Amino acid sequence: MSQLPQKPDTGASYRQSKREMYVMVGVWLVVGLWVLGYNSQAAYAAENEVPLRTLLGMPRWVVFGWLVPLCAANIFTFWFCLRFMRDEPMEKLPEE
Amino acid sequence: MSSGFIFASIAGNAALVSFAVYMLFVFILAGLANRQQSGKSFLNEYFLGSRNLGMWAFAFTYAATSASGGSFMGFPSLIYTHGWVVALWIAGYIVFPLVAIGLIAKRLNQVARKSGSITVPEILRKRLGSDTVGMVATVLLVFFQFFFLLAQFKAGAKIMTTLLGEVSAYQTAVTLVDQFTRPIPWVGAADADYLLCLLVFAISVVAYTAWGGFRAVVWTDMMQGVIMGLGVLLLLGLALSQVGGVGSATAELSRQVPPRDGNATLTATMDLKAPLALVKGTWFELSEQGGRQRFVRLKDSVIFSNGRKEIENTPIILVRTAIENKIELRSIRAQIDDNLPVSVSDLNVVGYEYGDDKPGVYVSAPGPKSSSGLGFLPIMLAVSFFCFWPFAGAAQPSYMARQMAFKDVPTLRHSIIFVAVYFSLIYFPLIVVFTCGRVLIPGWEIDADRIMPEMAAYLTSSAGVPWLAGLLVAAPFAAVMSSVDSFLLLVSGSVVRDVYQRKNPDVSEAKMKKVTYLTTVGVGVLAVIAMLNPPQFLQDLIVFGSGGLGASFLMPVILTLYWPRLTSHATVAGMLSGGGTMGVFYLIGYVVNGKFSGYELWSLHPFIWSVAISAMVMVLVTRITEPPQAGLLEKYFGKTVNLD
Repeated sequence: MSQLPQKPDTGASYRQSKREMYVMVGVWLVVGLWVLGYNSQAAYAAENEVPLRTLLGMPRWVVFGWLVPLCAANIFTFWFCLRFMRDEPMEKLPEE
Repeated sequence: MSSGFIFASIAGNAALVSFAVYMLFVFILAGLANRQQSGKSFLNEYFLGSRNLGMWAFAFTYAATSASGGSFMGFPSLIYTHGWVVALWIAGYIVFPLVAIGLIAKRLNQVARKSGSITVPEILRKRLGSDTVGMVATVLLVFFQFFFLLAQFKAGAKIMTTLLGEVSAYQTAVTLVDQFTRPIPWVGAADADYLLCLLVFAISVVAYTAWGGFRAVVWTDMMQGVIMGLGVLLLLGLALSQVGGVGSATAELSRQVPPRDGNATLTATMDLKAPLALVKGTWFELSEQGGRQRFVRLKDSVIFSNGRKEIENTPIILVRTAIENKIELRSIRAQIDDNLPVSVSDLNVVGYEYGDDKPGVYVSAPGPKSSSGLGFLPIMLAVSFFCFWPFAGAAQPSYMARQMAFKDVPTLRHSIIFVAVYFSLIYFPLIVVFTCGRVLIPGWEIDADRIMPEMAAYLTSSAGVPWLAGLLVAAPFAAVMSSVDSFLLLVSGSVVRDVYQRKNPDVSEAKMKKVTYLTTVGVGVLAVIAMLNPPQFLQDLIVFGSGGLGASFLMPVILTLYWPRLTSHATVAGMLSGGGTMGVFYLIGYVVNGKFSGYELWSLHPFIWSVAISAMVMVLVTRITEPPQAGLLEKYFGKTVNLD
């Protein structure tokens, strides 16, 4: 994170926000490919599993296709918010 | 216990006390918030809390507003009805905090401050320099948000009917309301208990929202957020301990098959000396068949009046339990009254279109569905919902209002982390709790919307702490209230700021206060009138409202914030085509499916089609219309800006 500059720079703030947006959409895409890609096989095939394959007491597809990506996404969120997202000075409000 | 309604039977007074204490705190907070309004710009304070929300306030108000009646009533009902596949249905929540908050929050807050905007239509109008943009945005916002608001009113009233069911003072009041309203056309058609609860709920929530404004909403959201979190974690602990661990629940669930729906004939097996009432939810045990123990459960109450021996065509469900499912069998048998002089015959039932007689259907995708041979969640619909949740979330004006109110970027960064953790601790436990619910209290397909309070009552009474049920049921009630207050404020804010003040720019602050209070109350009254005879499907209303808002505002807001070349004509076209496409798909759905639901072309949710069409229309119209004024671009994008 950079130090706060004294005065808002609208252009720089806009470009930084855009960069952050691209990263977030990228993460959404990666998690989507993981969750939907994995579960399109595992979750839909589980119907015919006898006996059902489980892990931690849950269907196995829930663990690898939901819990693990959830943990990964949360770890990324911590990194993104604490390390990547940049502080910007806030605009002063115009008079009402 | 012969009654099917566990909650009403055991937790009435405890629930009433919890409810009263809860409401007392809500009004104390509203009063404190009202005192904060003095000495500040009224509109800025009333609608945005003077834009100085800190981390806890912003995070909790965002989370509580987001976790609506749908999360605590509709969502548990879906898990109960369809099983583990609902985890896949809600998989978009894995990245919800990052995408829904992070995508636009920082930029939206900056642009709102730069333009001095208080509402979403105002931001669009000022950024694009067009009154038409503002008016179209206001109309769409009020229209779709009102649907969303209606669903929450219904949810709030339904929770209250459950909460107060057995309280004697409440029953007396219901009788009085019934006598008073029955002769009134249309109003008299509504159930008296629902009507009474709708009025009490509406008066409470409208009063504290109108009195305290945004700050009251935020403070009560904080309290409600804590109650929700504690409630879910308590439910999780109780459910897991009583079912013997999640593995035990999954094992029984994997052997379950969906119930069959239909009717049967009830016959009195002895001469009845007095009328005999059988309440909704009454169980009967039939013979074993094909390794499954069969049970019948009544979907409605019936009465054997004097001398009557037989009641034909009684609505029922047929539950077929695997004989290895010990917990499920024990639960059903504990509710059967062996001395009931009634037998069941002439069963006429049909199975689910997907999942009938298919063990494993509750622990896999696509999950059982009564009305579709494709199952609950075909893969393309899973893709749709993965897009729907985070992006429709990003485009909800009620969340945007919060994103305009945080005080600085560190607040935003820490709030995203908090919401990510909070949602992880809410949604996954809810899935576990209500998959356990299928095993612990089977047969609630007769009224799946009630599963949350019934589960709370069952778990607490089994654990010997029935008074706790009141606290647990306060969680969904808090969720509904925290959404209703936000939506009320949003709709009234749009009307006051974007319509009234635009037409009367020189109006005094005292007059604005009056208009604001009256508008908030007026919106509440309209919602009550619309919900006197509510439509059946709560979740469909919620999805239509949030989907419509998402379709109307997602692309217009994102492109307004991030694409300098965007023109006002394109924004109007984008909002109308997005919202309009949503409406058309619901119209087709109504014609094709015969009920209020979106038409899923190629199994894709209407939201996906609406957003895609909105985006294409906006890009196309932008390309063929004049670029925006240089002054606007410099103000919102800086001096050197690339118009492509």
